[in-house]
Amino acid sequence: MSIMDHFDKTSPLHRMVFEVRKSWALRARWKNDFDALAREYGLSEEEKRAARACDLPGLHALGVHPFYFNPIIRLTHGEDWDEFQPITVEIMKRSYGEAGDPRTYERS
Amino acid sequence: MARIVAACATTHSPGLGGWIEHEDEAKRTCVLAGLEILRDRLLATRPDLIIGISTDHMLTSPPYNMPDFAIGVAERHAGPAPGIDLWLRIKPFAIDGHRPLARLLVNEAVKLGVNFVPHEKVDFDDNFSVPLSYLNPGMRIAFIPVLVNSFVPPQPSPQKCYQAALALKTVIETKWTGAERIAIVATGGLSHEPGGPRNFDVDEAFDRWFLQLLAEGVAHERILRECSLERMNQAGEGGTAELLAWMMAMAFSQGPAEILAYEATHVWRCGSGLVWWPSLARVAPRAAGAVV
Repeated sequence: MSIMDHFDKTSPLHRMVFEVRKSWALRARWKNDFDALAREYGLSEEEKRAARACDLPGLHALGVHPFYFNPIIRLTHGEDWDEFQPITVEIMKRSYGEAGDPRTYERS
Repeated sequence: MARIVAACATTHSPGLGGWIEHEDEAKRTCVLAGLEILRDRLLATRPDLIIGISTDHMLTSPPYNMPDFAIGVAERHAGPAPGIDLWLRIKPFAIDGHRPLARLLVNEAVKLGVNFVPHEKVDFDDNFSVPLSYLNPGMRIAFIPVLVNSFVPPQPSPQKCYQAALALKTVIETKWTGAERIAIVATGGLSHEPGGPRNFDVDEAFDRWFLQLLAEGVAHERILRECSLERMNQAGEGGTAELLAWMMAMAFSQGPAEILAYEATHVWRCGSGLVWWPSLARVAPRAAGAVV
């Protein structure tokens, strides 16, 4: 997987994530009013579904820059370690298999 | 005349803020000790101003409109951005900028063929908030943020970044009439791949190879050539290229760097390294002229 595989600079998700990350009001809407917010940003049904589900391979195929994957997870599940870490591990394992499992890299 | 009094580089791992206690104790202790040394050395140079060079994590500029280089020109900066403070567990802070010098850097670099986009507002995340919280007690030292595009293809090459930094150096030394003592602090790296399959991995072999090049004082041209974007992407795409900021700091230095700390901090999701350059590059001749 490479950023360049599908990277789509015109993806409406880029503008949405960029603006939501910097606004308390939009952060609240991401959590509580996602569908309406996504409509305002012009997301397709597939983009809405992939973002809502934190479907990383799906987001990648839709051209979203992988750097935004962790911010999307945190916008959805919370910014505190206890909120984002367990679900991030689960999502990474689901998305990338063994490579996405932090236990793969545990060393003495 | 203004003087460059320090050049150094450090990780800005968000783990050093928001989840510091989850990293292995020995690794944590090593990196924190390195940061203490770096802070003490930096403060011993009595800087009036820190020029921080780091990546834009697509927070100040979006991925669809990312400049290669940018400079924060505000009189005062604030960080971390909303919500990012919760992630980093860093309380919101304000810090003086240096608007006259920042504007001069933007405008004079143009004449040297380098485009630094001026930003009235730079949104700080881990890039500046983490290192400043360790290195600038009380945020008493003024700060100019310089951003480099490490993330959005096509990124500037290492050579282009180095030349851009040389332009900054030339403007400071030949065009600015102030008498500030200026420290250069690059932040970022080392290897990591945020969001990708190696989100939790660190390429320790790459990190140690890169640090060794700096420690041996290898010619800058060779470092820029060997530590290419392709090589950095092999070590972790979309994150390792934050070392472009280190290469910009390198332009203010000469000779070997001293490695203050390195650990493969997997829990912090990046290799954590810190270096200090004991010798600074020679002052540019005080005359106009292109250097790039």
